[in-house]
Amino acid sequence: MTTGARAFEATADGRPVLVVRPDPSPGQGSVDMLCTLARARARAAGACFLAPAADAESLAASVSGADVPVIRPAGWRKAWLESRWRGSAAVDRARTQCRAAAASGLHELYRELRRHAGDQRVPAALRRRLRDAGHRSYERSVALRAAQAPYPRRLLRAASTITWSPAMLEHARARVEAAGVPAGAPVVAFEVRTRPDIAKAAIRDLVADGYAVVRIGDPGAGPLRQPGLIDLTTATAWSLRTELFVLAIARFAIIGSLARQQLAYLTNTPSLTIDAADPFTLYPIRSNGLLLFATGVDLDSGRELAFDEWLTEAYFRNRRSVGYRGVSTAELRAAIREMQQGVAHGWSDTDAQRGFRIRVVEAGRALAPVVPSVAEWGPDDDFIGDGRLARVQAERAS
Amino acid sequence: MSRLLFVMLHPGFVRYYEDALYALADAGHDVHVAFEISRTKLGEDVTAQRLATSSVRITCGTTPERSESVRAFLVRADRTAIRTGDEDRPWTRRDAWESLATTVRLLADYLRFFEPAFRGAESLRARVEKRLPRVYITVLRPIAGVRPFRALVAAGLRGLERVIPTSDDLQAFLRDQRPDLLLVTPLIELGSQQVDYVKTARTLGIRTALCVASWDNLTSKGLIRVPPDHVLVWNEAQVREASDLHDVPAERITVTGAQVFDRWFSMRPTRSREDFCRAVGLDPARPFLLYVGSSVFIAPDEVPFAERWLDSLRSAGQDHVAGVGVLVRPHPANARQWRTLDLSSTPNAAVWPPIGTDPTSPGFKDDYFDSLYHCAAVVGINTSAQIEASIVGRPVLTVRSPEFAHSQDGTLHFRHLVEGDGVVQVAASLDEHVRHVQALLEGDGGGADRARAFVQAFVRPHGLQAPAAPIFARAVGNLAAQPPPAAQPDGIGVALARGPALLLAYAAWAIAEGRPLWVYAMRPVVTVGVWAMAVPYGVGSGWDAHARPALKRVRRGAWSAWYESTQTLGRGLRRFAKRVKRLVRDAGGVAKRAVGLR
Repeated sequence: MTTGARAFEATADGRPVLVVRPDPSPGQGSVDMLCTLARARARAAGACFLAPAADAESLAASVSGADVPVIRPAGWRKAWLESRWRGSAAVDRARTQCRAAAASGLHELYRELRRHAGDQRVPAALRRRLRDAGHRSYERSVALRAAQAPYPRRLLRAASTITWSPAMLEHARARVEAAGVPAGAPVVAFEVRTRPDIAKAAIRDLVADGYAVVRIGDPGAGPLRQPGLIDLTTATAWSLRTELFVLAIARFAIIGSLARQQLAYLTNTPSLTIDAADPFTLYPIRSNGLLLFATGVDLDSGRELAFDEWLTEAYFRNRRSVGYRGVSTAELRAAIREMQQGVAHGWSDTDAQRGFRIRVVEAGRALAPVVPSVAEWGPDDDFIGDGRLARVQAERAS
Repeated sequence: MSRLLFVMLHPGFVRYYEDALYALADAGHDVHVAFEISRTKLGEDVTAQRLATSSVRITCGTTPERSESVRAFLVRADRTAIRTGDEDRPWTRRDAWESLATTVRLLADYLRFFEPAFRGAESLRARVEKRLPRVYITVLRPIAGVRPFRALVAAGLRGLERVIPTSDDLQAFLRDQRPDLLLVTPLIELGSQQVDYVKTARTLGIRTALCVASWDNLTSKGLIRVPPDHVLVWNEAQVREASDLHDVPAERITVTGAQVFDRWFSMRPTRSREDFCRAVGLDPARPFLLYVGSSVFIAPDEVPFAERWLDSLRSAGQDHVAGVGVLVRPHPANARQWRTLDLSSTPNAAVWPPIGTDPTSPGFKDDYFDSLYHCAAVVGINTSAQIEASIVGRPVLTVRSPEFAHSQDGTLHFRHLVEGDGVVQVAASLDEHVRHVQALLEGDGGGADRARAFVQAFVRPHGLQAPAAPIFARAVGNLAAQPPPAAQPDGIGVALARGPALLLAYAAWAIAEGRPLWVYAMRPVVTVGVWAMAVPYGVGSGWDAHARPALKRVRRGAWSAWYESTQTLGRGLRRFAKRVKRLVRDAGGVAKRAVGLR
């Protein structure tokens, strides 16, 4: 689910309050919280985050919205909201299951009708009608499966002013400093998922520019030893709070996954997202976001795909035949320079960047009815994001 | 000499037995190799064609076509596939039996991966799960972990396997071939239909033998569901696997060695190390490591690991480690992903042979041997190339990595490489691995004795100088020379049980579609609805076909009759009028004459 959990409305102190339990995963949990804050802001309501299990609990517990009052219920009120949430979530689940069952039923009806349409004993005109009815049924089943709202880009567009609880700040600050991050140093958060040698080159440059580079994210990419790199992904140093803290204090973040990009939206950290494998999913929503695509390689021929090919239906239909080569050192260096300029002097688009964004929106509009993943991750009411493809690639794409 | 029938799943298995087949032909045996399915992915068809023309004593062909192959069974279960044609084919009783057979065999294969020996082998279990219709998983998964339930279900499946009849086509095929010995390989593929050959041969009194093709066959695939009369294995480790995991009595097992590796003992490099390094693009002045890629099941996403591995070498503090050459050799069946590896900024590293090279092309094997022969050590995840490297005498290394946990410690055959007398030096991390490489490059050649011992135990248990193919051929010849076993036709109990089992077979056929069960409840309603709708169409077409022309004929006849009658009447009237006119005229003439007007 990408749409942000459906909040229900309650009343507290005579004021409407949107109540939501954020998803337990930090990334989706961030989206749930930001969407709820945006909806509450639009309706002049308050927000209430029920603590989920797992990591995101610390997320929900430590966030306050500066422009939206965040209510922290206690006692019987909390129990009442919890039970209402459970009821509301159950209704949502039931609705989803009904839709899935209807889609499955229509799909089965399609198969049954086709079975009869292939029976030579049935009159030819009826077989034609059965075949047409079957196709209609199939199309309706596909439409039902895809009938979910797109990624709520418009709700995530404006940053919510979030304040962190002093306890959380103190705790995280202590852990981050214990891990070796110098107090007051300019920090760059780096989620290392790209080739180690390319990541190391970027880290070297950043350290030479005076940044403290802090590794965040999944440690699955293995240990990375590079002078100046502070690794927070090790089991002892890592917690969601420390990661949020690092993102909050970072000048910018270099990110390789959707979950970290969504966390960066929560902290409103300028982010450079690298190695994107399609033009929609990781397209940055905020104006302080940059994007670098991986290089798509046709696995049958070895040919590198042009960016225009990424905007076609054929690309999404045939992704099993496409492999991805991470960004090059030169591309990453150029994008980091652009990031530094943007953070220091503000953000502006070149013609190529603007043009590419328009092409992405147009392609998303055309592809959404036929490609479920584009319907899910593509433009939200013709809005893909205020962020941009890094100049180094945008020039090539234009 | 004897007549042998060798049933192989597809021509890809020829490469495991090519030398052995030549040895059998040289010994004077007539061998007919029959393939169940065709395969061209790695040029297997070329290998089969070459085999067929290599000796007059070797012939190749296909087995009788199955009513429903395992592949067709699996395709039918794919709900997302949009097909035409297949669904229109009416069911036959044979289809139903084939479906039941495949289901029973897949279920038996599924259950085996709950045995204690397969603890940690979740990916192997998941591989069977993907092939089974969902309803069985839902029912079995909760109880399969409980030993008594598992034993009960397994006993039921064995009983069903006995009841499932084999097809008349197979009987006719075996009668036609009249072999002294039926060899099958691999038999243990998930849901394999080769079991039917063993069952049919038993009914007809033909001796059977399973040839275990590869080192992972007895541990990572399915069960030997109906034990053949003999099992030919590589080594003592496989003897234990056959008896412990497949309940094959030890006296039925013969150890021949690994005939597939014979050529590696006799091959010699085709060029010098310098020439080879120059050809592949490596620095001849430095030693190089050969990275051997693994199959798609073992390493579906191997490139990121290889990039990290390469970086760990290049980042080593010692120049001779950091500058060591690296040659990457993708697995032929999993080569495509290596197109994303970019070595343009990595000096002294190359991918060889170029991706897309035809594995049947002349020189492909020589090239591979040269890579092994000239390298300083071989590194890989889990692949038979590591065995080949140990035969050539090169140190073999691996790294345990979390993304390959399913295919390293999650498979039993990996343990042959790393446990006990295993030949592979295993590192728990890339750092430790770099230390291993460093030690190797600094001349710590320790392990040569261990490698020799491994090769002797695992590949050539009859002695390093004793090629396995002739031993295999002798063993097969001896088995073929034995008198045929007594035919074991189905008993009366089996025949009686077939009636109720047929109902199960039809159920298995339906369930294999992987469709919700309500579909079968609704199907008669939909069918009645369709035929009800067909009635007006039938009436309409009946009207068009018969009534309308008849009516047309009647209308035309009536019109014709009316027309004709009016025409006739008109003619009569005209004639009558003429006659009246004439009469009047005549009468007038008579009257005129009478009154004397003329």
